[in-house]
Amino acid sequence: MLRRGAINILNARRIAIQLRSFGTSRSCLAIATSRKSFNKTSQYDKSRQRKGSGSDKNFAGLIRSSNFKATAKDDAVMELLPTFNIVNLRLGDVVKYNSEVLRKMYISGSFKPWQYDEIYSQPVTLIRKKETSELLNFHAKCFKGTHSKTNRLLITGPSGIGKSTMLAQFHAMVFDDKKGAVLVSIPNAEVIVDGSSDFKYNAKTGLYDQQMLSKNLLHKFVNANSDVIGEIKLAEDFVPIYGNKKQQEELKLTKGKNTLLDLANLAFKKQTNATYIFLCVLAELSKQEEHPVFLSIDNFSAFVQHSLTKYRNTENKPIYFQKLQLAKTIVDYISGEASFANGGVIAATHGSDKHSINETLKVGLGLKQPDLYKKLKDFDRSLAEKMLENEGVKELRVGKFDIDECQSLLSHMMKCDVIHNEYQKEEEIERLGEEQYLQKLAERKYIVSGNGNPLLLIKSCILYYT
Amino acid sequence: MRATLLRLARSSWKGPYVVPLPISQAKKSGTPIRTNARACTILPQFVGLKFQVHNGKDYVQFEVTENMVGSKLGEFAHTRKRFSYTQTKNK
Amino acid sequence: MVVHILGKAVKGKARVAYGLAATFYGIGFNTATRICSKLGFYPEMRVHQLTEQQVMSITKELSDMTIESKLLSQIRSNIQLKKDTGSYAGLRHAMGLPVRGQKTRNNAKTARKLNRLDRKR
Repeated sequence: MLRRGAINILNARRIAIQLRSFGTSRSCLAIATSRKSFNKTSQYDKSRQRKGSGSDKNFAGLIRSSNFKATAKDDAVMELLPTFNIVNLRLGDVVKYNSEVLRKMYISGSFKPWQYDEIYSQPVTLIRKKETSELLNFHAKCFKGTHSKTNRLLITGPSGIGKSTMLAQFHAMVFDDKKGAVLVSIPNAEVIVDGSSDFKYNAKTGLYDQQMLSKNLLHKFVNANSDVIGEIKLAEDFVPIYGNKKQQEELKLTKGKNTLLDLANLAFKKQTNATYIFLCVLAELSKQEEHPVFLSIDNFSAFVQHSLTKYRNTENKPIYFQKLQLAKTIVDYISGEASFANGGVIAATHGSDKHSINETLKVGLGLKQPDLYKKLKDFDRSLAEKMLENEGVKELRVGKFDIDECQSLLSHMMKCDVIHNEYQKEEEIERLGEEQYLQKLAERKYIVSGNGNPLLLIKSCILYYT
Repeated sequence: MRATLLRLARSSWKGPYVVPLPISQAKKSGTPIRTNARACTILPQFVGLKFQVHNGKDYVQFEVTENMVGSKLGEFAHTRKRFSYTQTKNK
Repeated sequence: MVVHILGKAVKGKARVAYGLAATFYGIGFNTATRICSKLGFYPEMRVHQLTEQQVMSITKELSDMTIESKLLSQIRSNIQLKKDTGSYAGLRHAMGLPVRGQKTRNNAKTARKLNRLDRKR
C-alpha cells in the first residue's frame, strides 16, 4: 500500500516537471525519505542544495535568473500572430512586434521584468481600443511637423493597468515608422535621482553632472537609433569643454561634415564629459527638422517621489532633483521650455501608491487647484507650474480591460498553453464547447482581476501555488 | 543649536540651580559650610571650600576641587552604605 | 576584497558610508554619511570603487576626528576623573553598576558589560 503511494507521488512529480511552472516558489512534492535518524550528523542533507536555491526570489528576480522564454512552446501560435504596424492597428487584437523593432525596443528598455512577457517566446501586446488609438492620434500629430512644445503627453493610471505597455507600444510606433524617427528613451527616471550613479558639481552651470548615467543613456540611444542618427549632420561645431588643448583639438567635430553618431560616440571615449555630450545631442536633435524626435520617460513620478534626491551636497543636505542636470533637462522638455522642432515628449507614471497623496502631477495636469501651503514632499510647486506651461501637458489615462479585451488576451493565452490554474478546463470545454468556455472564462477572470486590471488578469491565470 | 540640546539638560535660560550659601563668610573664616541642599550646583566660586552635605543621616565633609564644578553637591555625599555581612546583629 | 583605511580593513563590497560606520569605533552611520557627502561620493558608491586619492581624502577627514583609541582613552579618562573626585557616578562605574539611577534587582547587563574603569568599548 505504502509502496503504491510512493509511485503515485513520483508520477505526479514527473507531470509537474513536464508542465511549465511560473510560480515563484519551487514546487516540492514530499517524497518519503527512506530512513530518518536523529543523529546530529545526518540532519544536514547534502543532496539538497540549500545555497542559492532561488526559492525566495520574487518574480522579477526569478525571471532574470531562469530562462522561461527558452521553454515556451508557442512557435506555431506566434507564427500566425499578426505583426504590430501603424497602418493597420487591429484594435482589440493581440499582436507581436517585428524582429527589428523588437531589437530596438529591448535596447530602449521598453520591456520591464514585472510585465510577465517571459511566459511567451517573445513579447506580445494587446492593442487597446481606446488608449492605443489615442496614442496613435498623438503619434500622427507629432509627425505633422509640429513642435514638441505642443505635443506633450503623460500616461497615468493605477498599478498594473499597462502604462509601461502603452509606452512600449508608442516605442513600437516610433521604430516602425519608415520616415526615420529618433527615440531618446529613459526607461526608468528613478535612476537619475536614487543615488545610484556618480555626480559632480559643475560650477559653470551650477548643476550636478552625472557622467556614468549619461553614458549609459547615450549607449542605449546610439544602439537603438544608429541608422537614423548616422544621417543627421551636425548643425554646429562641437568643441569639447574637457581635457587639454591637444585633446580638444583631436575631438573637435565640424558642422555639416560630422554626424550626430560621431558626437554621441565621443561619450564612450576616455576623458569625456558625457553629460555635456548628452545635452549637445539633445540640442542638435532639437534643431533639425528632418527627423521627428521623441523623448520618452518611464517612471516619471520618480521626480515627484524623490523631489529631494538621495544625493547630498557637501553640507550634507539633500539635493533638489532639478539641480541635477539630467533631471532638469527632462523637465525642460516636459515644460516645453526646450523643445524639438519636430516631435514630441511622452512620459508615463509609476503606479505604486507612494506618491498617491502627492498632488504635484494632478495639479500639473490641471486636474486640481494647487494648495500652496503644502510641503515639498506633498506638493512640488515648481514642477507643477512647469508642467502647466505652454498650454500644459495632456493626459492619457489608461483604463481597465473590458470583457472583450479580456477574452482576446485569454484566447491567446489558451493557445499558448500558459493558463495553469484552471483545473476543470478539459471537462468544461467538453461540456460547453471551446467558444462558450472562453466566454465564461473571460467573465470569471474579469471579476477576479478587479474588473479588468491587466496585471491581475495575467497573474490570475499563470500563477499557482503549491 | 541650543546649548540645552547638546547637553540634554536643564534649560539654559534658567541658569544653574543654586541655593544661597554663606560663601564669603566661609572663605574668610575657613569653616566648612553645613548644608542640606544636595541639589545645589557647584559653581567655580566654591572651589577650595569645605562642605558638609547631608546624606540623610549625617553630614559628609569634602573639599571642592576644580574638577567638581558643574556637578551637584549631593554627588559627593553618598547616601548608601555598602552591604557587608556580619555574624551577629548586635555589633 | 578589502580596502585599508588608517590601517583598518574596510569591507570592499560595502557602501562607503556603511563600511566606515562598521569599521571605526566612534563613527556611526550619520557621521559616515556626512563624510561621504562632504567628499562628494554618491550614496551607492562601494568601498572597492574608491581611488587611491579618495582613500587619502577619507584618511585626512578621519585623522582630524577623535575616533578609535583616541576616543576610547578620552572616555576612560573621563570615567577616571569622576572616580578621582569621589563622585557617585565614578563609584558606580567602578562597581560595574548602572550610573543613572536604574534598578539593579535584575539584569543591568549593559552596565555590567560596559561600566568599568578600563572600559573596553
